[in-house]
Amino acid sequence: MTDEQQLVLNLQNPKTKNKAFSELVALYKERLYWHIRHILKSHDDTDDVLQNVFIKVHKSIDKFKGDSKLYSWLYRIATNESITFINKKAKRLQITNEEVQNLTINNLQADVYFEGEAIQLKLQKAINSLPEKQQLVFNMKYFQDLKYSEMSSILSTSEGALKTSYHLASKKIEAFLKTD
Amino acid sequence: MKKNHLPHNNGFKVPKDYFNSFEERLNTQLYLDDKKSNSFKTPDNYFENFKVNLPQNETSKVIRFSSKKTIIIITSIAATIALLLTLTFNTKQQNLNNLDSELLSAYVYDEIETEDLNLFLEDVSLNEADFLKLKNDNLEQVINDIELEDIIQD
Repeated sequence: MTDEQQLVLNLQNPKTKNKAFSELVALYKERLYWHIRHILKSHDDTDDVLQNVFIKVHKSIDKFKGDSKLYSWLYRIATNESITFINKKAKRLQITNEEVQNLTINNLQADVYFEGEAIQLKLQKAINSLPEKQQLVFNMKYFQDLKYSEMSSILSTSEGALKTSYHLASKKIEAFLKTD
Repeated sequence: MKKNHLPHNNGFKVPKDYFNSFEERLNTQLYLDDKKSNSFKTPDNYFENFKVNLPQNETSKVIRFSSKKTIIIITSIAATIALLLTLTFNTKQQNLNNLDSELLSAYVYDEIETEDLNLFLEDVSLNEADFLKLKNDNLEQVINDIELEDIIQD
């Protein structure tokens, strides 16, 4: 039995759930944080969503059947929660998801938790110009260096399609960065 | 190296245009890798202090007040109590005889339009023949009953 399988069993056992949950949080908080942060950009929003992700995991760990790996399941929840967060924000502000993302990028310059140079800001703008799925693929590969096989189980997309998507995204971003 | 000197591929194939686009993809990757830097920061000791705040009701079972079944039960109880109170204390019979006459005239004056009063009148218009039916003695009596003030007012 792998460590991950043991962790899942402990999470599903009421007697060991709390201890196992602390282990899970310690193990995945940073990875999930950065995954969410690259989607939402703002630290405060990321913190809110990260909390929700772990609360959801705590509530629904009994439903985890082990068909996929635990990290894929966690990343899927984190991705869905982040997208739901953007949708809700768009609805609240009565603007489109794209406009929400533009607003976030425009706020980056004044964000105390963003210390990028001009080129970094331009890189974020370039990523923001991509379709939603390509943004996800690019962030997961470029910043988090996930393997295509891992991304495939998280995004339920074939490895070939992900490679094509990443390549297209890279070309677009390169072109965006090279324009004045 | 000439093409005919390339090693035999032993049946392995590559995607179409793979070698043509290889250099281009490599250059793109090198260009982007050069720009790679994590500009996003976190507050000091954020990960060390990170704690999941689980909701209180996670551990103890709480009956949701807003469930449909609960609402139906509460509404039914409230309706039953209201009905019982009405039947017990509201025994005074209401009819036209015990209406306060001043209250009734105030209501008619304030709330009822002239057109509404027409509803109480029979839809028969008076004509000259109705008056001719009056016999002379009755007519005399009618004239005697008319007050002088009424004539002046009209």
